[in-house]
Amino acid sequence: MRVVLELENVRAAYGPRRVLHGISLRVAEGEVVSLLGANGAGKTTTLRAITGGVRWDGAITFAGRSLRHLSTEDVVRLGVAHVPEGRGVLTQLTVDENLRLGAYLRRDGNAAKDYDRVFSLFPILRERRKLSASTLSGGEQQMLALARALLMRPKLMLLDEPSLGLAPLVVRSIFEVIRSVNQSEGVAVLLVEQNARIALELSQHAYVLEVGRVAVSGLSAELKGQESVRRSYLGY
Amino acid sequence: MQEFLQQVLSGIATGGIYASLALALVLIYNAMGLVNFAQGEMAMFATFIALALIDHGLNFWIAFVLTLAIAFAGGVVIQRIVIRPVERAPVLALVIVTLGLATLVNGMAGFLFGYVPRSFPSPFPNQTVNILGAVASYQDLGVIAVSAVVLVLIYLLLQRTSLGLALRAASHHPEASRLLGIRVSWMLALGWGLASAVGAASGVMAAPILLLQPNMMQTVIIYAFAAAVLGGIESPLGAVIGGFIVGVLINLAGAYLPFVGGDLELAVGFVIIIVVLVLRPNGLLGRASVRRV
Repeated sequence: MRVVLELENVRAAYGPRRVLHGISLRVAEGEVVSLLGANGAGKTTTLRAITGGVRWDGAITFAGRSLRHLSTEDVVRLGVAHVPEGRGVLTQLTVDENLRLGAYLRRDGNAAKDYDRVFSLFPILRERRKLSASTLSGGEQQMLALARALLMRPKLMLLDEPSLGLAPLVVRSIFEVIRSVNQSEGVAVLLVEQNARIALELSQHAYVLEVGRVAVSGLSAELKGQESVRRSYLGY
Repeated sequence: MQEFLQQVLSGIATGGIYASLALALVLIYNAMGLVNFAQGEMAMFATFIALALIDHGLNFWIAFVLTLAIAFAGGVVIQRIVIRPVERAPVLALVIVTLGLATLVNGMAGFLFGYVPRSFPSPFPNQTVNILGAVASYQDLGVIAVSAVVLVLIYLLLQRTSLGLALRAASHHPEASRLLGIRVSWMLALGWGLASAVGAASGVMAAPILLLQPNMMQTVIIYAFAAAVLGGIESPLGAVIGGFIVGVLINLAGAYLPFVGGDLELAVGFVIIIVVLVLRPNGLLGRASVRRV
């Protein structure tokens, strides 16, 4: 399988504080990869490094292209949709305007079809189209963020804790959508999660970070089965 | 009653001038969380350019449109060269930069064009027309029409085009907008360009009334501040409404309050600012603000 995203020995720091001490990982085309670990392990920073939100050393390649010296906008324009921590919903704008911005870079003229698709995935968004995005509940905002990312027609989605602060039922339905989008459209996903159980169910490969390093990695199914890994790193 | 109507009408006309400049202030406030203290001076400089074009024999309206285009380009260039290097500086530094820019532009205008007030041609006939018994000058009606057209065009651009949508997204949510592939830095430059063009329109409309000289916009910008504060400093629509209200209030105060006369009109502007800040700090259309730290 072709590798769509590759990080090699990536290091990053916020000022004097080193957060990533050399992360290496790969995401293959059409694959879901989980990035797990405790708070402060460097999961969010890893995603931010990929889309240029933090300075980094090492090598990051996306679809065979080095991401060094590229701005956030340029990385996104290559086909990376990053749904950040806190969802990145534009609360001063309406739901519809948020979605239109998802399709902002599209020049293919097929965006209309994709609107129907995201509205069938998230019917609630169609009802709320005209409302300010600030009136949405947390779950609805997460749906909006995902829908907007899908409208970007990305090759790779970076999802930062999509389950954060949501009711278990809502988490289920959101992960169902991620699974179906991954399977039907072949979008690769790099998924950062605290909820290791649900992430390992969805992903093929997983990496567990510990203080800025990859502590364990492997097939999700195998990690799930190893009691020691589960206890010491995944906390369930 | 007729006189009252007349005063209101000419208040609306000057209000259009304030509304345009207030809109310029709001566009930039939204983009960088700060009013551009050089907005009035930039508008004045653009008006000198308009006068130069007209003196070279250009038709007024061609010169007008050309001036707006030049002002737009100038705004973009100023943002790229002067503002962008200090974009991440503390607010106080930015205040000083825009104040310095105001002084610089003012001095350059004086150096290049001199301080002698010059008359500026009006494109409207010097006649009056009867509306509902009130005597309205074509000058006033023309200014109202021009500001209405400018304001509607800006509204359509911001609300009905995807470029305007990206501009609004970039100014309210820069980080999230980058993740959508919006070139935020260029959007901010575009905001400066638009603000500069709208400001230039207010300058060209003010010049036939006030006479053109480097300090021409210094009272106008006080009224524009009052309008922007009254409308809610983050609301473009509020700035426009505020502009018209301030225009009418100032005119009525000058006409009917004997102690205001012509000399204390500026004080009315300050009174409006103070009253709004005390009674309704977010303005008519502003939302309760959350301070970004």
